Amino acid sequence: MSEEAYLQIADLCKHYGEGEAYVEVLRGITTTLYRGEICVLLGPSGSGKSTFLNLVGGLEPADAGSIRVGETELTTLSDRELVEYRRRELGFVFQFYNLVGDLTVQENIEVCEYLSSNPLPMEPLLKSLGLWEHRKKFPHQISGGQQQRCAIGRALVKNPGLLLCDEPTGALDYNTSKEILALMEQVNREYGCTIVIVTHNDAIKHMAHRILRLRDGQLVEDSVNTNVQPAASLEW
Amino acid sequence: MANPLNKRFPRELRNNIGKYLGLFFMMLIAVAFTGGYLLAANSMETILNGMKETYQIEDGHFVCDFEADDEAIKAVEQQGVTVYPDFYRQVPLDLDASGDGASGIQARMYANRNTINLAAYAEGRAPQSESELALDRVFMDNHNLHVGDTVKLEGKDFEIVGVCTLPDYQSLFENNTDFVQNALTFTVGQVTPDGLKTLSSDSEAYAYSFVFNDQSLDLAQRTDIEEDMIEALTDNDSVVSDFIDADDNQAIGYAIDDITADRTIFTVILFVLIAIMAFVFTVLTGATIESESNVIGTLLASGWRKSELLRHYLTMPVFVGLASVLLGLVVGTTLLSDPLKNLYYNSYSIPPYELHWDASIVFFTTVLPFVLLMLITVTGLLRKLRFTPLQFLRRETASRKRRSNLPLPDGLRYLSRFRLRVLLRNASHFVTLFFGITFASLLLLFGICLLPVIQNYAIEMKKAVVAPHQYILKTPLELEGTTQERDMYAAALRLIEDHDRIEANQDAIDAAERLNENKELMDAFDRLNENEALMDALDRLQDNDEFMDALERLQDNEPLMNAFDRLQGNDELMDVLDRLEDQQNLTDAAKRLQNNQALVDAAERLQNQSVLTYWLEWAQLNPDYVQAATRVAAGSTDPNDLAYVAALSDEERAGLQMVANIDAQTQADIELVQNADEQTRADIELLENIDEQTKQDLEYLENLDQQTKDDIDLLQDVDDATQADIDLLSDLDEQTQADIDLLKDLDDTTQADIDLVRAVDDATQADIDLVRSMDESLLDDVRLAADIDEDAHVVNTKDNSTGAIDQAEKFAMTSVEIQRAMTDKFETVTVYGIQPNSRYWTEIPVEDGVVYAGRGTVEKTVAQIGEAAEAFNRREGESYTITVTEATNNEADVSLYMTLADFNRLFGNDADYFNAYASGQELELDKRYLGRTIVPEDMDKISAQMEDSMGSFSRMMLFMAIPIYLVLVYLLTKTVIDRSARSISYMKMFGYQNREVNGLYVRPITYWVLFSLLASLPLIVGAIVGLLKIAFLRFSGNFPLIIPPERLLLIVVVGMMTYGVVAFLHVRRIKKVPLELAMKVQE
Repeated sequence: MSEEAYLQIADLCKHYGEGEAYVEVLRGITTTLYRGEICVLLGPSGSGKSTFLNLVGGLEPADAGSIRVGETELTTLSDRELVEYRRRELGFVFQFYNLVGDLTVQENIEVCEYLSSNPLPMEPLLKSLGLWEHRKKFPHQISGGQQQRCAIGRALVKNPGLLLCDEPTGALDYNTSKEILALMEQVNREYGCTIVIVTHNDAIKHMAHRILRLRDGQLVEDSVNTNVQPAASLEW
Repeated sequence: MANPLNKRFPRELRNNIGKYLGLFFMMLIAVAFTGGYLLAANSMETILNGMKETYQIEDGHFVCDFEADDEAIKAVEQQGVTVYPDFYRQVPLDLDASGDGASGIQARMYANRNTINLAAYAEGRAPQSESELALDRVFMDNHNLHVGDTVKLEGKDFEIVGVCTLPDYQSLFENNTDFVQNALTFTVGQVTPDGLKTLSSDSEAYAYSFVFNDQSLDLAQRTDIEEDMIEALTDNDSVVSDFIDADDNQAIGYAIDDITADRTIFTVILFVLIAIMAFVFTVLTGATIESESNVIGTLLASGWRKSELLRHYLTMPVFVGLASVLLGLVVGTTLLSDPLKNLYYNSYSIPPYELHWDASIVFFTTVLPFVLLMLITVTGLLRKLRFTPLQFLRRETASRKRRSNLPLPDGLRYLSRFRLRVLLRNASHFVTLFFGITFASLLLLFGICLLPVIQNYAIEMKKAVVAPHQYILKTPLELEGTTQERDMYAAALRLIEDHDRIEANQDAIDAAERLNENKELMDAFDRLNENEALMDALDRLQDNDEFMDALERLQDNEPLMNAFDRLQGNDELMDVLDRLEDQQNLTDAAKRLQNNQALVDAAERLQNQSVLTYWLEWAQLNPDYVQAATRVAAGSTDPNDLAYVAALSDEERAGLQMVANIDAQTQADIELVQNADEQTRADIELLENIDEQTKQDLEYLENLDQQTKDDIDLLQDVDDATQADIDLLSDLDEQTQADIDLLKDLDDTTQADIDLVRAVDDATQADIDLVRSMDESLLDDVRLAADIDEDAHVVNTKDNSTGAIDQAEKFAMTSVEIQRAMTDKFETVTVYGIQPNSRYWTEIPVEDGVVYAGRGTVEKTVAQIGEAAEAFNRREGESYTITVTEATNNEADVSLYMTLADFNRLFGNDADYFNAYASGQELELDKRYLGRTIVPEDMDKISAQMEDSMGSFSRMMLFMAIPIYLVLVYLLTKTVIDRSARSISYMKMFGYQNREVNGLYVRPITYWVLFSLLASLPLIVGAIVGLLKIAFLRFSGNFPLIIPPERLLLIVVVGMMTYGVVAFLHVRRIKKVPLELAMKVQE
């Protein structure tokens, strides 16, 4: 973790629908994340967590405000530049692993290794993910936790500056969820990437350096966790 | 590094091998067939196009009803063409030993050609002897004939020595107006010129091929020249029964037209099939994209570009497409080209096959289909990939979700709603399936409807042949005529039929024809010919030129001849004259003395007193004694006188006394004689010394009557030449004399005839000599035929019963060309001139001014009811305006009907012109004037010929349609089952039996397939009508496009049976869906 501001968000607004269906999903969010931080974004369903993540990931445009990742201002980028931004800077982990069914574990990770000019070495990564023995298995041959590890590996292999995780443990059981969270912690530690974890599991905030909480599209909490706990010790 | 997604491909291929194999083989078959076909077509087109030069194919030909004379041909050639006589004889051919013509096969035989339309030999050689022949290859194949086999032409044995192709019969069209070629009961071939002569000349057709001197002419220029050619022939009294430019000649152009048209059909089928396959690819890949939506979203969110994903999803279609088109091209061009070429080689007489490659084959079968496949697939994929990463992640890409959420009527039962949802969820599959089924049904229907359309056409055409027998004539032929007329035409026919005889006597016949033009002379001949004896006499006399000249000269001297006649009638006199003639001196003397009758009388009288005459002569010789005696008698006593007297004998004294005592008359005679000149005296002396016979003769002459004497005088006064003539005539032998006698008794007319005959010039005489050298029967025929009135109709020489004659109905027909309604090409339309209230055309009540059109004419051409249409007669080079006023109901009938009178007025014929008979009974007609016979059963042949010609094409359509059904239905419905696997598993888990699950998933598919088969029927019927119209557009005739309902039912049955196989596979697949699938986490 460093003191370098990495993700700077200012007055970020987003709405969906028109007329009676008009919903303001994000209303003037402003915050700053520092490089190497693990940030947990909390909030109830419909609070705008995923939208926040999508905007930061460049998957949809903001109505207003600014999103700066490193030196890149996302709101001014074209679609093509956004693709390059994601390619270069981002790793995504979703609740559902979205692995390519007819590629092995290693091949699934290679899918994103292919995109990077400076990928992480495969073998150490697989070993650190605990997938070395399973690298030649297809997704349907491994467990959900292993699939999520694979998905994380796929996101990490590019050596991204920013790892966005949308409910990464949402489809996992308790133990597996903890393993995944521990893995993220490990990844953060080993690779120094900034991690934003969207979850509505309040317990996870304890492993984060920064805690953001959204409610009705507004940032109701933006705090620094001074008592970071190892993921393995989390309980819910 | 290599794209890691590429590792999916072999696994994808392995996991979905059925899908890819189906697509692969579908395209492979389509490309292989098209590639093979195009290579074969290109090769055949190259061969056919090269035939013009290699085999000297004509630019056109015309057929005259009778042989065109040199003048006519010369006039034609002056239009800028070279004409080659190419006569043929068409005779019955039998394959068995019977030789009875029962096979119904007609062989059109040519003498070995060596200048134009040269034969190509696939096997064997050209005939070299009179009993050898070469026959068309396709015909021989159809009848399993081989070199060395023997066939019968008109019952005569001929050995097949060659398998040939005549380049002007690449398709065996007997007549250019025939709907289809006929390689079953019609063939062409070659024999030697002598061999041709052994065939009946009845069947001889005077065909002439022509080649334009300038080969760079465009169509308009060629047409102009052809019109001039027809005019030149007509002007030279040639009746043109057929005139065809090579471009319009089906026998030459049909094969290449057929290949070109089929090439289009094959290419279109390929492209439609490729397009359908591309849609299938798109649908199937789209389904994959939908199923991988979240993965795609993740990849996009991770930085993958859409273009990279497009390439990824395009790779399999590219691979399968490229492999199938390339392999299809290889398979097609190596394995299928030869069998496909046989589609044509079995039908058309094309020279031996040679492979001719062309880059366009690769372009049309590989490049273009592949590009089409890619275009459609890329378009479909781009459409599928148009969503944002978020939409992919949220699975908001599937329109099926929207469709499956459509509200359904409340009244629907659960099962119906479920099935409807299945259909709605997979709407894109089912829509593609609908079009696939439509296309396959279209091919199927095209395949199974060709023959019914043709069969129906034959039935309708049969209806249009209203009379059991229709005889199309080369020239108006009257069934009734006088005996004399029939004799004349029979003679003309004998002359025509006995070609050898004519050829041998051609000069004489020409002479006779020239002589016949001199009517006066021939009449004279006629009369003279009746007097055989006279003619014989003339013959003999005419051989004696000298005599005839003499007779001629003498005949000019009438008095002389009369005298001669008279004298010659007096044999005795003539004998006298003959004898006297031998004593020329005597005759001359008599002649001279005749002028001095007194002297002669005196001499005669003195001759009677021979004693006195003696003593007078003695006294003249002894004047001294006479004077002395005279003086003594007067009284002288002179001694000398006395001495003289004394010296006389008593006899002398008495003699002197007699002289002294002669009377005055005698004295005068003596003086007269004495005073005569020496010649006269010599004459007298001569006469006095003639013998008794001569004396009698002279006496006889003396006693002649005056007329006779005058005659003799006349004859005696003739000049030397005349005398020589007379001498000649006098020396005649008995026969000659008898001849002369005969001639002398001639009456005036006969004499005038002889004079006329004898006045002929040398050329005429030569002609006469030639004619007289002809055998009598031939001359009779020539002369009989010469009396034929050329302006009158020919009279039939065959016997027909009165009943048959009475029921036969004259009509006229010709062909014109009228522009087709849909194209700028022309349709051949038959124009009939029929009798009002015809007993045969009972449903066409023509009357003057009313023109009926067959419904087919109205449907196919610009000749519409109430509108004036231009009709063009190429044979005449004339245009006509015809306004149709009514139409019949027969759609196959492309004809126009009007009264015979209107017909003749329209085409400028004589009022009594006709060229055909409609008859309920069979008529016996002179074959010479019979063009062809049409019976309703002829139309049945069309079906058989068509089946032979198009059957393979039809079968190929069926062959293509059924696999398309199978592959499309399988692929598209399999995906439905696959993507419903989890639901199926749920259903099973809920307790549904397999049978019930099938009812939920397979039954809607079944309904849809059935619906597609039924709903596509109107579409394919509409499409097939359009396609068949295009397909039949190149044929003469209008084809009622009747699609029998049972054929449509057959489409549905075949479609459902094919689907049955697929449904069976689906039932098995559903049975195999595991229950645990429902328990797996669904993302």
